[in-house]
Amino acid sequence: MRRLINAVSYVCFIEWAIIVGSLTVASRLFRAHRQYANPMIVEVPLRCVTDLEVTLFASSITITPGTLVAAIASGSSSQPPVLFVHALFEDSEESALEGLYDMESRLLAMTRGRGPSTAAHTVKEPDWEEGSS
Amino acid sequence: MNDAVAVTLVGVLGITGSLLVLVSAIAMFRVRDALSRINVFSPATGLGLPLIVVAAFVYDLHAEGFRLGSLLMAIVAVVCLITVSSVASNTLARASVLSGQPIHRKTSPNRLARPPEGVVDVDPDAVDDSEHRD
Amino acid sequence: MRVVVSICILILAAAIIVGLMRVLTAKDLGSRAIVSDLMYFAALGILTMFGMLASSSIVLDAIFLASMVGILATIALARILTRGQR
Repeated sequence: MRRLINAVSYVCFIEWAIIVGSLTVASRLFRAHRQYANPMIVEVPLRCVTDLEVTLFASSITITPGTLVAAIASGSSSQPPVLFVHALFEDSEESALEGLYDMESRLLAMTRGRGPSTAAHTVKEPDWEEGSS
Repeated sequence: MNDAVAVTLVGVLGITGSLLVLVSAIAMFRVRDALSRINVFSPATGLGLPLIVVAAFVYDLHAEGFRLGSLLMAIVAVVCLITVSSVASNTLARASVLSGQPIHRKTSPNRLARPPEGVVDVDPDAVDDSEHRD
Repeated sequence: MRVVVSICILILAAAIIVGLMRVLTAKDLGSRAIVSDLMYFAALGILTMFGMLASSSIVLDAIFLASMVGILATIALARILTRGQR
């Protein structure tokens, strides 16, 4: 029952994000004097574990206008899976990551029935220098 | 449902949806690389086409009366548009990164700009500059 | 009904023309792939509007089927871009 409420609120959240993002894409067209977009590719270590969660999260990111999943690195026993997200309209890397972690918390509350126990900033950045899969 | 209400609903929903498709097309002019173009395409499939589907459903409701099959088809069409186009955009973005389409040089920070796994590069910065400079 | 549907067709046709001009000016293949995807969906909208204009009863059936198989063209283009690798 709790999960059903969370699922309905998550779908409403995604719909609201789609509407707000579409309005952003449209309203930015009329600012001719400034640069249209501010593209960046950020790296998001995930708290999602199962395939279903990762797939749902990737689809949710892509359907929101302004963010797009460009690549997925699979996780191992010591590292979380990593998404590479292409964001267009964010000001800085921190604000982009903040919005994505908010969406992930809502998604995990839907699939697991409760919020994630670990905060977003405790997820370790994967160390690429030591060779990852 | 009388005539004026149906025409108004179809007009508002259809014109809004069509305008969103047009906005996506114009936004493709303003951005510079393939990834950004895939990115600004999602207003069309996430909101524009579902609005056109709802307009078609309102027309069907007006012309033929309520049928359960039509409602079911409209709901499935909206859900399919949202999920299927999302998966398609994922696949196309991944293919365009993998096949080395140029990425706009003002993309910063670019966390993908590193040599692939197992490639030994003495100077990664020089490689990044030559590969991703558009 | 005829007026609003005609306006919708005009807007969608303008979207297709803008996309075609983008194909002429864009250099890379990824942009062309995504513009072709945009044109597929705009043509789907035009088909729906023509169905309304002709008082057809299978408007919803057409858009239902087209929205389900719309992924195939994009997947094929993505596979072509990567030269057949997964």
